[in-house]
Amino acid sequence: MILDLEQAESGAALSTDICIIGAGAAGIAIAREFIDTRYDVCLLESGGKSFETETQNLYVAKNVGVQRLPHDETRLRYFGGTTNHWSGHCSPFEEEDFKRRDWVPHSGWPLERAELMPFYSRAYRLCELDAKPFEADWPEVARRKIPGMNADTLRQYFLQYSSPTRFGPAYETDLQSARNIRVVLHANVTDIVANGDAKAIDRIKIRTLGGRSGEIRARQVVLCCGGIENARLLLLSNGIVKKGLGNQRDVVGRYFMDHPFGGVGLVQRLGNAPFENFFGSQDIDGRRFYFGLALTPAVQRRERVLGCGIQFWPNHEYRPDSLTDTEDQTKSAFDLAVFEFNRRWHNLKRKVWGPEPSEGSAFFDVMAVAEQAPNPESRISLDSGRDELGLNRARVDWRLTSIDRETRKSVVRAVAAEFGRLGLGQVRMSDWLRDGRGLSGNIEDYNHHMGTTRMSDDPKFGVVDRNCQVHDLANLYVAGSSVFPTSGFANPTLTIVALALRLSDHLKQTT
Amino acid sequence: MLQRILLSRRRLLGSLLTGMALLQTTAIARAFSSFRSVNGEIAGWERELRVLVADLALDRSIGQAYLEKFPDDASIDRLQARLFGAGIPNPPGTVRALVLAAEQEDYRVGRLVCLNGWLLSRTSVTVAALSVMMAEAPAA
Repeated sequence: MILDLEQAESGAALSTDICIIGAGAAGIAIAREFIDTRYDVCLLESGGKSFETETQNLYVAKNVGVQRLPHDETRLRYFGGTTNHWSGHCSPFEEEDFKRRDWVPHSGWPLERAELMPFYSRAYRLCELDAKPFEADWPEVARRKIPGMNADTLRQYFLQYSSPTRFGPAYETDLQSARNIRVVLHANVTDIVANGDAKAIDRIKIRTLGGRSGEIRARQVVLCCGGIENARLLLLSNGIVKKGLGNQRDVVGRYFMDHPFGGVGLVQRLGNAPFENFFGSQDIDGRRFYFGLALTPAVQRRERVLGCGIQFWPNHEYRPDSLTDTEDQTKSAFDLAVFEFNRRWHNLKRKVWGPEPSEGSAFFDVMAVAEQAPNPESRISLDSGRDELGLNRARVDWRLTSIDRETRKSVVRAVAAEFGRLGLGQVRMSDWLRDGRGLSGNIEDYNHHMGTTRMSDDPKFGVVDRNCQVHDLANLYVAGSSVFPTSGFANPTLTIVALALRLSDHLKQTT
Repeated sequence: MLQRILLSRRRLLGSLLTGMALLQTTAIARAFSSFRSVNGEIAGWERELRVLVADLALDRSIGQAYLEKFPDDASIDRLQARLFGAGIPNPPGTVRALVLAAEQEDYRVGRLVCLNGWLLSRTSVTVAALSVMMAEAPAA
């Protein structure tokens, strides 16, 4: 059933087996797993069934690090969470993403991808997709391979588009009709209270923006509020443990990661190299896919850089002969000379891709969406400013390091070498990357908030263990991208859902 | 400038056929003079390189950018050595194939030169630099 705390008597007290805080992708995925089981489940949602400005304002955060998009716009705080506006990109993380890499500090998950694969299959179905994550599963996809691509340098990757599934509307009826599930709307958690010895959660305090309040006691508590709010709630819950729940070792909120995204170069297409067949969005067998390139593990190891996805966006506007600034004119004159130089070299060689096309872009922007190195100085903490509930707002200090920059240079070099070898195109590195300018202002965040309650077997380096249980707290778990120890470059939703399903199974075994 | 003179391969071949007299009075001649072998004849492979350069109709700016970045390479001998090492291409007719193979190898091993952001094969920009040096070579 679905209840609204605004309609309840103030001071309501609920008791349940499992209390899930947050009705986004992770929270709804977990709640669904318990439908018609012997467990009583309470799913708390801060918002209502649709967007409400007052509730959304609770997401306002202060940004003090690398420039980011406003956090009250990139996340959504109502039933279904941020799936209410996600793009639907679904791809499992790479096998290497789970491994420890000696050139990436703090890398390595306490589990391997193989352990997650059965849950990825289930996650695909929740995202209303075929559970076919690999190229071999899609003969038509396999036929899009670039002939002769050096598998040691770059590899083609693809991801599937979910419709995209809006988890709220998609699964509302299931939850509404379940006899053992209570969804409570407008229930903002204001405090997660530990018992006296701080070994378990005693109760959860909830309140509406209208002033109604209540308490919930649960055998198990699962925090599913997203990569920023999970950390914020733990830090705010400091009545018993002054540094915040699970934060005895000052790890909560640290290692904040995103997928830094942005242009790193320009490709001049040579001949009629069929970029449109190899890259971008394509419909195959009634499904929509996205195709790109990625740095191989071999290159990452050799150049000591991170994983990175590479996209090629047609650039129809690029006109080097139309620039007016003197410096730009000099640059553009050189560019024009290089364009001709490249064409002539290409014509000297075997014309791999045939004559130049009569239409289609001659230029493509090289866009990199990269893994971010885990960095304890990149963090979420509590700001002195407060929200409408009187709670400290999140303070976001997103920091990138030199490896994040070097990864982009590797991408451009790899694409230049491979495209040159294959006669696909010639590559120019972006000025900012070449000049040694900083990443700030030249990359954007991708609204993927990860790492702030990271998973590690060692409590010194992680907030949760391999089962997503907060270290030293017997009945508090965390779901969502905040538990990712490393970020890969794949969009996080599928992995969020897979981990949530894995946690559901664990809770069934232990509750 | 060289590229203004060497407008086409046809013109170059025509020039070669009409003899050394014409060459002596042009930038081509100046450049060729630096390539002469001991007996004063132009080696076949040198001619092939000239034809390749003519086909590319290179803009000076690329070669100049290379020479600014690598001033130690500002000699024809040095650039020749970069292209062919110590050996002379043999048999005749192999220069173009050798250069193109070297260019492919550059991309394969990532031997790229960054000129104003463009990541180009070392071989291709060496040819560009050679065309600049040849055009500027003093008369024999």
